[in-house]
Amino acid sequence: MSLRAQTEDLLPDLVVCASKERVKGAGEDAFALQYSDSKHGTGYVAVFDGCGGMGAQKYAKAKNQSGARLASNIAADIVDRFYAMPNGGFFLDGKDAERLEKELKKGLLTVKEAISEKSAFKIGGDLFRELPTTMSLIVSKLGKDGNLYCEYLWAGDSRGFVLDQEGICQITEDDLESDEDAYSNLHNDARLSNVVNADRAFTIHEKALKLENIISENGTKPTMLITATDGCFGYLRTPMHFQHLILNTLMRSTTEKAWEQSLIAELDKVAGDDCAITIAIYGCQDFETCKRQFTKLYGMHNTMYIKPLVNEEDESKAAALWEKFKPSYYRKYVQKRR
Amino acid sequence: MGSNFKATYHVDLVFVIDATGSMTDLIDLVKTNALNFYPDLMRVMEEKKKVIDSLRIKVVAFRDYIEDREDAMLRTNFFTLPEDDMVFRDTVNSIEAFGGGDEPEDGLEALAFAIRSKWSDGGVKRRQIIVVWSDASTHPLGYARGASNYPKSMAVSFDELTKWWGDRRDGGYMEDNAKRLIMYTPDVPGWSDITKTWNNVIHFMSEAGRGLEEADYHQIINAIANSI
Repeated sequence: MSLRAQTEDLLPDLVVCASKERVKGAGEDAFALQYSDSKHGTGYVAVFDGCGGMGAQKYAKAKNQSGARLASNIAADIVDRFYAMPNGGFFLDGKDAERLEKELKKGLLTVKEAISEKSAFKIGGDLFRELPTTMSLIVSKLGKDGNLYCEYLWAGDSRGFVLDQEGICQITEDDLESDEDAYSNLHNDARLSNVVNADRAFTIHEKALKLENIISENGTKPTMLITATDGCFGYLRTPMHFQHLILNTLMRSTTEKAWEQSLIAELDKVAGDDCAITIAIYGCQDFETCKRQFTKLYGMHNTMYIKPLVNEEDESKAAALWEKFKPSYYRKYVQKRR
Repeated sequence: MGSNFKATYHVDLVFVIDATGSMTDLIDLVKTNALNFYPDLMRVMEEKKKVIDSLRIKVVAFRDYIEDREDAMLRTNFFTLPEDDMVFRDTVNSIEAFGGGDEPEDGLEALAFAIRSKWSDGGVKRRQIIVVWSDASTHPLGYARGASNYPKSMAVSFDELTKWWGDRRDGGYMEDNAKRLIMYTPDVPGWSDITKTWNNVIHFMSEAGRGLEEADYHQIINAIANSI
């Protein structure tokens, strides 16, 4: 699905989302997004990835669905309702994470109590959780000053990014047991240290950004706010290939709908997991403008980072290119609230 | 997408099976589970469109060093499947439940052998998985140290075995990110100590003395498949 802001200048110009289930009817990823005039342009995009290993337990009272599948869908629903509450939702005030964490805990606990049964055996161990899911959520609001105010909220290894004309930048920090960067974790596959769940403590992290002059007298700065589950980036060769995947599918498409379909088709080829991605785009007016504004970056990135790795199986070459790309991938934006 | 890259998975599984007399009623089910493990795991992985390009299975069957002497511990090398399927089947089918004397058994020594397996270091992504089936508690490690066939290089205590397993700070004999311990055992001394203190563990807690028939085998398969 996609939507285009028509009635309110402060809404994103485009919002795009795509998701893919590996096993039909058993997908463990979910997404949610809402932008509403009634919230004065404040809205969000989000993805959730039910943790299949931790949440393998099936619940007879919930149509025998796994804890992982239930968790991601319930969390998405809780966020939807949180946003829609009269006088509620996100305020970009530094307390959204705390309020949402409380809602998620309460909502998941209620569901857990409703579906739990006295089973013949208990499950224990640190790898087991009741209703476990990751979350990456970006709240955004375009200010009347032309700056874009964002709040990245997350738990686990689903990620939130900015993609502007400087390239992709990961804003969230993965909750991992060991110290990995985006490239090393493609190989080392570290365990998660923090996920949303119904039986143990968890934390929703928060990072506030001010992206300056998205709209100014000098023109617009096209900016994508991206949330993605690990199925979207965890099976690619390098983090550079994730930027390439987004821009390559954009360049090949003629409409938002076609872009979404292209994203799904490409993710289906490479991902060994369910996947979900949402993208809110500001500063581009319409789809064709968006393509045009990212054409130069796409070409440069392809030449510098993607073509040198085609037919190149030597991993040291990929590692060297990652070292070159890394400072930009982890660049800092102004951290400031409204 | 301009890349011929494909993530490759190397998965090593070690089955640790209690083969003492108390398992008589259950051993056939455990053996059936063990033998179906490869095709069932591959089927689930195929449904998820994940490709394992190397899968090896090893078996450790245990009893009691003091009671069972030379029959106390059966250990194989890794079988590469599907190539070694016949030998793997013959080995599993040859396991019979007998001996052990009274509970507890020497399950921790069996787990120690499993931890010190020669794990694969190939593939882009690896999983090193130990699956334990038992209906009994374990002796403290080293309880049978006086037995003539007790292994010389065994961990001397539960603390040392814990170091062999390792944690995120101190790597043991397995890769911290790759290792998983899945136990289908009662919540009794030995196994419950592991659940309380080790990382990367899922413990399906059966009832002591029976309970293995309660196994939700498919849940265990899914737990493994989803962790790959």
